[in-house]
Amino acid sequence: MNNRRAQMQNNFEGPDRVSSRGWRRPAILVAVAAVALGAAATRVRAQQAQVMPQPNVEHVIGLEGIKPGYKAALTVQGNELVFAWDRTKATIPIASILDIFTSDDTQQIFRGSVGSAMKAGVPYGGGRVMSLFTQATQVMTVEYRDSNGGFHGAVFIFTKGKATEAKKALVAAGAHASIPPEEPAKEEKKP
Amino acid sequence: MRDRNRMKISMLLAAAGAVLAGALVAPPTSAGQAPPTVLTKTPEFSASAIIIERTEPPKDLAIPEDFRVATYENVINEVTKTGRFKQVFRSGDHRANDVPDLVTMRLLPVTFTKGSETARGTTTVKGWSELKIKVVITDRSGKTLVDQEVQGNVRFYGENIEVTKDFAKKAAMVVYQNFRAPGH
Repeated sequence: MNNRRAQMQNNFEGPDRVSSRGWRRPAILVAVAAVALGAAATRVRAQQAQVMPQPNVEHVIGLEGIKPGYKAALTVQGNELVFAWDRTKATIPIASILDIFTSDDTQQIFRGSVGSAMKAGVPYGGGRVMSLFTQATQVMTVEYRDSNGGFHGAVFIFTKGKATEAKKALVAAGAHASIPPEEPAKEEKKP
Repeated sequence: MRDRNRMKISMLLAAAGAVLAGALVAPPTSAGQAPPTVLTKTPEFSASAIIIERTEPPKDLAIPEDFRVATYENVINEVTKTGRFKQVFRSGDHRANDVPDLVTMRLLPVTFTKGSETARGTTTVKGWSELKIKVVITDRSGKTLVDQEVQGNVRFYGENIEVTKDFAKKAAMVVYQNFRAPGH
């Protein structure tokens, strides 16, 4: 009886062991594949970081053919700083950049004509409270010369911290900056 | 009785129309708005081209670089819009060397207050942005043609940097009032 039980146990354990081994292999394979994919994704992200993707950079002034307030991605592509989104595109050759400055700033959350209309529409002066809602931003100013030697300046607004990243990427690509990007940017002024 | 009512209504309508027309025709009075476009004097000078030099603040006056650049760019845009010159050159443009009747515009900042949009929005009477710049225009010989202080303001709505746009519009008006259109 005991032998039978032992045989039965062996019979039950036998196929179980085989099946668990059978599941383990694909599980390990899946895990390895996941790790490999993760590593590949990290590498792609690192490459993207090198070309500095900034999906929400606002143009204030300075780029020809682009309206103030237009938002686009600012990237370093080859030897150019490219501000592009949809069909709109403007480029600045990195070699022509004279200087780059960054500074901290704040921006109203309810702004522009819509924001002003909203503030004006709130009764009993409640619009004033809306003016208290602000967000931290960073401003980057790029000074450069065109092919005729004419001086240009372009001003961009970034979310906080992103302008320093952009400046670092530009300096790494060979752009000139009188103040290194590592230094605190709050009081950047021309020397 | 009906005629009297009709007359009253028509008179009220006429009065309302007159008030509306007056509001539309009256020049803007508050600071920070566009200056009147009516010429107060006949323009004295003429030139085919102008070169606009970079903003040069004195050492004791700190103006953030974005405000300096925005002032320069806005002035170029607004002076181009006046149509007083065939060519508007940027600072350092070597093509300007070949123009015999070139005039040079220099922007020398006098005072600057950055202001605060939040303070303007909440208090109305605080946080004004102000930018006063001396606009100097000289000819090739160095003779001063225009020397005038111009002030740009943002008193209520708008971001601080809009002060550069307001200044540029007023500086362009100075150019418009002092220079004849090409060919006149």
